[in-house]
Amino acid sequence: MSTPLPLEIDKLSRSFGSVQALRDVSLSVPPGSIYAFLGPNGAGKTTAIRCILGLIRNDAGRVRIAGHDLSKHRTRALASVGAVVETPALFPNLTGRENLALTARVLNHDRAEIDRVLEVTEMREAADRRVGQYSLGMRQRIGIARALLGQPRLLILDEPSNGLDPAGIRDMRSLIKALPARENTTVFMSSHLLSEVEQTATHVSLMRKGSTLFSGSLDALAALQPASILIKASPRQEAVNLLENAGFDVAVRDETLQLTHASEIGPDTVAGLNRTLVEAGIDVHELRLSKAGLEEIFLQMAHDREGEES
Amino acid sequence: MISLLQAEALKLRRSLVLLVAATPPLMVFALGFLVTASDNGPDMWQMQIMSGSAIWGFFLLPMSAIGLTALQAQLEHAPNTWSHTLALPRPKWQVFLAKAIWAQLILALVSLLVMTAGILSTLAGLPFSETGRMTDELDWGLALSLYARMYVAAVFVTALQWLIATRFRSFAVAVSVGIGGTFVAVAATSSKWGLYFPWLMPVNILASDPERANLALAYGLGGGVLVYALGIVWLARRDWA
Repeated sequence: MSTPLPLEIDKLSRSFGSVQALRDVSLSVPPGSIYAFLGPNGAGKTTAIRCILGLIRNDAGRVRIAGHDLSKHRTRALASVGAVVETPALFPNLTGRENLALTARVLNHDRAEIDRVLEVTEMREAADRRVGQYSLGMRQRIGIARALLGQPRLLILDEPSNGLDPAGIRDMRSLIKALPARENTTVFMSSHLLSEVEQTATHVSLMRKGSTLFSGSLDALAALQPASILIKASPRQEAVNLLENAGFDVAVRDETLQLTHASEIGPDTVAGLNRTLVEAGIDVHELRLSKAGLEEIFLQMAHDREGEES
Repeated sequence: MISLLQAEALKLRRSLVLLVAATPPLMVFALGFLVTASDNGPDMWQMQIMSGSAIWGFFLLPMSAIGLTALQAQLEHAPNTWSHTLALPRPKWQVFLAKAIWAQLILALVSLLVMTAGILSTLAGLPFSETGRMTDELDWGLALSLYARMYVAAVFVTALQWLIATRFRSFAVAVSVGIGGTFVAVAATSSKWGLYFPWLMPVNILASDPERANLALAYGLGGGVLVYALGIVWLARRDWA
């Protein structure tokens, strides 16, 4: 029998009055992945996370955590989850260690486990200070430390980089990237920072207005968008003629030629193009392979969806 | 369940709940000492205990229930920790039950401290008074019985205030209801319907008619248990967005 997935969502829907916050959201989170739940503010990410944690009920659909149906076996399902929802909700009158201690008490973990998660998040030295004195970055770390108590199979992080300065974002990225291997866990995180997630995630789900535009691996997402080659060459028109004769679709934007091709474009294509242009006496000033970023892909998909809806 | 109770106890550490819990006994002690030392107090222990418990039951006990339950709920509302507390792998009703038990335990402790403070303040003030002594023996049993019965009769008002404070994020809702209830209680003291008004049940323990006192005790406890039971089920089932 195969090991159940850390998280499966099937056709999850939820409305607030006339507002449809989630509409048939489905996704499967593979074990050991860093799964990013992406979308602009108001896309329904936090609502979905609250449904996953049983904080709000879904109108339709199903959530399974480690094979347990959340609606039928809530405590068993949540036993394999650690979560930080929105800004890390901590008790400001308590120290970082005390915040961990009260969760550890409920989950029946000992003091050694508290020290372990403080070590993982590099919060040991600040652990005995009151949380009210912490910076946002420290609060995020102690929130993650609390979520890591007991080495949960699934770690849910809601906008973990929100409000952090660039150095804090970089540190948070390093921490998150290290977690699956170090803690033998799966990370499911929401974010509206698409460029940030691109550097961290292995899988993504793109959300827009409560619906998923795409769910799958980053590689699968990239494969949906053809790569292009950007060239700056002179004389430009000769270069255009040559490339069109070679079977490329050429678009001229400012000084740059953007090439797409029916077949897959790869590094070999780039080398071949360079050779062809130079042998034809054309000066090549710049030539590079360009793959669409998450942000561009998201915007393109959102644009396509809007077209379908209208 | 024990682990949840221990976790709730830890949340109280360095919180305003403990500061506010200490206020009524300190106030009662200071006031009792000054009254006794200046010879303005009763010269009988029975009278002293009755008058002290009347102030407690009529005014201080409901106000303490209002303040303590509101501050206890704010421990979760203010930092928005519900999203963590209620996402733990424990039945939600157990989380709320643990909170309700602590609300009652804190009020029981405050009741005991207020009773003790009232008696100790008199003992401390007597050497400074002209008479220097009471004309009857101190009856700890009477004091314990009165304060315990008032505490039980206050379960209803405590449960109501706890439910409102837990449900609504705003501190103002619970405090407004509490102040309104206490104000109406002042106006309804002598009304026959006052017996059924939760904010008046504690002071009805002092009614000269024993049947009225027993009814206040029964309504206070029964109503309180019912509000807690229904409230916990409701809170556990509702969305926590």
